[in-house]
Amino acid sequence: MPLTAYQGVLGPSRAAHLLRRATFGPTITQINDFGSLTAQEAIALLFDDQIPDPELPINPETGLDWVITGELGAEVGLRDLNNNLIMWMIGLACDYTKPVSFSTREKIVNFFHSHFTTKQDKVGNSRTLYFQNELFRQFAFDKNKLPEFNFKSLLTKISLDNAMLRFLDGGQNVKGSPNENYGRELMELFSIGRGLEGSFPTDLAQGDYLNYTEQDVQTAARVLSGLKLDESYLTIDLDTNLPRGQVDTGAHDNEDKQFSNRFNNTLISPDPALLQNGLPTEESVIDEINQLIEMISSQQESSLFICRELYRFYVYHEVTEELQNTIITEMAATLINNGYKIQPVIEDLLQSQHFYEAVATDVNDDKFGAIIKSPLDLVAGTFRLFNLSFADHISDYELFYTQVGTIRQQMKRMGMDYYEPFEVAGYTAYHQYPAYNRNWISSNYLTNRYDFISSIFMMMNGQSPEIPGPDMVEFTKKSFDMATGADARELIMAFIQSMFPVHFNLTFDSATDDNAGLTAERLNYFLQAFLFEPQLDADPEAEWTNRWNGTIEMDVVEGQLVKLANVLMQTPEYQLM
Amino acid sequence: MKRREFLRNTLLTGGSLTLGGFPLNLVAQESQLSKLAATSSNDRVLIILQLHGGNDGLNSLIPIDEYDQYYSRRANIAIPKTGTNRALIELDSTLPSEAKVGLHPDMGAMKQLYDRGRLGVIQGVSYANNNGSHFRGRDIWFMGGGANDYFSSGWIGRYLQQTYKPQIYPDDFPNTEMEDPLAIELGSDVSLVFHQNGNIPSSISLGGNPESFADLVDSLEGFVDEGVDPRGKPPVALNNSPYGKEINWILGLEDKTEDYAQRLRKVWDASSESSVTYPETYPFNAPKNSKRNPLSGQLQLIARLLEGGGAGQGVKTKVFLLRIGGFDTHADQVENYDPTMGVHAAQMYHISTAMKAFQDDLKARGLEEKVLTMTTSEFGRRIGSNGSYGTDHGTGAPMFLFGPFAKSGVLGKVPNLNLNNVEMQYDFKQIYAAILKDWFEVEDATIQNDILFRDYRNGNNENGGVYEPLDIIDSDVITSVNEFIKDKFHMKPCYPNPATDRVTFNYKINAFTSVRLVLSDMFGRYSNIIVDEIKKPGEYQVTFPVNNLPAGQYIYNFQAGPIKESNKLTIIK
Repeated sequence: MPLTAYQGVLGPSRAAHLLRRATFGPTITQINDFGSLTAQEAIALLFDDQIPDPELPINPETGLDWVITGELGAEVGLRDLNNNLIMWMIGLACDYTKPVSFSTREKIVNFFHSHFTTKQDKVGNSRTLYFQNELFRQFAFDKNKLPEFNFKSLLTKISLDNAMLRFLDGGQNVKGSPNENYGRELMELFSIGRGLEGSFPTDLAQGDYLNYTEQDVQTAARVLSGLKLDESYLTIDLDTNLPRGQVDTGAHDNEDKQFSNRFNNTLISPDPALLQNGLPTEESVIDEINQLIEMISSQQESSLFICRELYRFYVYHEVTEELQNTIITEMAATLINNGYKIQPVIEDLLQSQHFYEAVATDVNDDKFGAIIKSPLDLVAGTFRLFNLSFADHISDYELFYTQVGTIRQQMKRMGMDYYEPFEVAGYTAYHQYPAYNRNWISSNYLTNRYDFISSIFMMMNGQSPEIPGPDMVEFTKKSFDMATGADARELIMAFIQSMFPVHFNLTFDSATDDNAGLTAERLNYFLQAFLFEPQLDADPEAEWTNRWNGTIEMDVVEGQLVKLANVLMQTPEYQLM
Repeated sequence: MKRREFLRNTLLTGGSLTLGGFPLNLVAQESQLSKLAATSSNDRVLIILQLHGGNDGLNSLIPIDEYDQYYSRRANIAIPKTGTNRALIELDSTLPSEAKVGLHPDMGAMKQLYDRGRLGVIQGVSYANNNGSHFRGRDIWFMGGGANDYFSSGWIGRYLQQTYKPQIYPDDFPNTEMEDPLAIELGSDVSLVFHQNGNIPSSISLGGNPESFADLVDSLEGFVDEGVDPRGKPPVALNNSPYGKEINWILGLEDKTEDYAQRLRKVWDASSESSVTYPETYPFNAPKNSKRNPLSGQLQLIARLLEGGGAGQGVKTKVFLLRIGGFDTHADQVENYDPTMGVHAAQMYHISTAMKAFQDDLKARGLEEKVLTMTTSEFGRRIGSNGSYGTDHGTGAPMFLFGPFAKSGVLGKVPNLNLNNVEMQYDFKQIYAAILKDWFEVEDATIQNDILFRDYRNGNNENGGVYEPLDIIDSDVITSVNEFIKDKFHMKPCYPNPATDRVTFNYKINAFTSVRLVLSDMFGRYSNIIVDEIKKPGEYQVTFPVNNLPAGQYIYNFQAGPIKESNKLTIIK
């Protein structure tokens, strides 16, 4: 059953909420445009799949693409190209100039990366990593594609993906001496998991992990034995046209594989029709992997597992048993009813009543501001909000890499070393019960977030000329009408409405703020910081209006706006989405 | 302007703000003096060193008497027993056969710590139904629970809660008795081990130099709190909404960042630099990312903060956490051309040398007896190696305890190498219980009821048996360490004494070490070196002619490894 859909026109607040979650963050124009749409109309735009592929990254050595052509150039080290590739990905997330659904797709790519983690350092090859990234992009919008494009087949493809074969040692898993690394993470992290986090399973026997057993891990490793990397990229997957790993049939364990009662005692055997003289062939091995993925995915728990992850990524980290039995179960049904395609599940979720205000009268069921932004969300969202651009990654690639390099370092200091998470399980914020996204916040990380905001505005002051920061006067003029700009209080509220996730019934009057999303005290603090610290004029609010209307002393105005943006964005509120 | 008041209201679960009719903060204030008196005797510090990824215990502590079986299970990664200068280092030849182990050849510094009575080893540490998962495993260790538990608090978080109650974190901290963070995580994270139920974690993270950190905090608009800044305090009506919960979480940490940044800078500024040189890189071949010692800087930082420029000036922080990654050695744990080289070797070297420097540093600062360090790792690795010069996820593994109060020696036996996995000999919660009881001096009842939720010292275990208290923390450090060393390194009284023609010396050493035995007279007119060479562990006898020496009083000086001894010899004619 689809979830109950949100009815009616979204309005700017829900539109901004939807855009923050579905994409890497809205521009002010997008908030206004989407505000007049219904949820269904908004989803259609957000998932418009008639969009171009991203332009390929450039090798600074040659000035040309290298990920497809393999033209590495003479001097550039492989590590530099790795870095270039990751900067290119960050650049895609920050790019506000593309159609909105371009960002929806990049966000799903980001979800897949958080789910199927890889560390670039261990993969050690930018082309290999690029092909994985492109695999995610092909599977992000899967609704209108052939039936083969669905999450189940992505599980098979990722099992054969060169980057994954390297990262989890699948390329070293041979008959007689299996390497279990990938087999274990396939079960635990990618496909079926360990059940609802935080629920208390009954006592399990040694080696029984509720949804699978230790023996199943080892048996799965045998099914997966014999894969090896092909970094000549000559082995092509026929569905995606992307390179994949190959099969070393001599290293494949061709015996029967008996799984436990957790999988209904499934027996996986090579298909005799695919064998050659009784020996394994590439087809027979891949067929066994398909059987394995089919066996795992046919468990109800597998559909619940991926839907919980989608829910936590897009809505809120707390999944109770009640939620599991209602929303998550419905999502899982949608997944199964749509041939295991992911896109219909996300679309249905993002247009549901539940995604906005589950119970209209109870704020405790609101989902606004329930997620702590990842450093990538924070960085990309800020760039997009202010319409900031890096240099063109094709025509001005050297400057582009310098600029994104700075941002990437800042993200690292905020706790997200992109494509190099500390753990095999990925960024802690996406998997660790019970704190989840709270793992993005520590004294260090929070300080570096505020420092990032501060640096954005310093860039404009010429202290770090590599990235042009926002021109706040221009931004304000373009974003808000003249009357709003001229009234300091109206302007503060307008900024808040575009930046903060919760902002209903705003007022500067503490006598009437009982039903407001922010206290009047808070608003007055922003006003204080905006115009009174330091206080330049006898009547700062009147003087603000005069300067704005008369376009005089715009350097003062710019300074005040930068101060306002800093106090608004170096806040807990701005860390939420 | 602080927001303690609102934090109290929003973060306390249960919502009762009075105790026996008195406002809670008054109760807290009144009891602070008595609390102080009760805790002042314990100024001890625990450092948790997390080996992330699952350490291969069998290549850290190599079985000696079972060596052939060890070799046959993991021939492609086995550390040689003899015949090369990179063979295992026998830890202690006085151990009984079933406990005899050798250290990885890059763990020489650990051997020195052992010989000085500053290292204890516990074999076969695990938990029932160890599940071989990295992140679940780590969470289980951090929360201090079992395989089926999902606590939202960590064992250190609960310990700190009990220690400081009725004061409640974060509202009642910092205060005049406790100006410092209750716990510090080196690096930037906020691990589950420090979490408290319904509360922000009781730790703060510290990435590096506290001075530059405090400067940065000072410079940022987001931490300015003059005037009427409610700093994001949401309207009360939103406190239980998802938004309210997340924003209160961030606010709590923002507040603590500001509180503690200046304090740590102050302590740091007053502290003196290390007089000890810490190791920087691994001297042999290893992948580039494994070369740098990741612990040295962090351990140095801890030593400085604990010192703070003089007695009583350092931080009173009870627990520190630091971590070292790279233990998930499914492939290429060792180099294919030499099983003693590679990633794991470098890790062993880093831990051993950094911990040796740290102990020396603490000693030089007069802090050594305050500090206990414990390693943890989410699981051990399989007994058999795999085909890719690595090891897959296993269960049990050894734990290391460092410090003069760590009971020297090896607890437990070499694992049964015929099995797939290293069997559990001790539940890690037994070790926690021993540390809580014997190191932090927490009451048994508190440990059982409020921290570990089971009696891991004397209660029933999960298999129908009974736990026994583990003797892993010394009660009297001077006596026990001396006895330990004396047992391993000593010179027996020479004989005959008085002597006329010749004298015989018997001594014992327990490490490859330089041995020096010098006989001299009381006035420095005569001196003769009898032994001066590097010897391997064992018992030795040396006979020296004295028939040419005039009668009188002589002294023989013996130096070997950690000991120096002088004794009298009388020569008569």
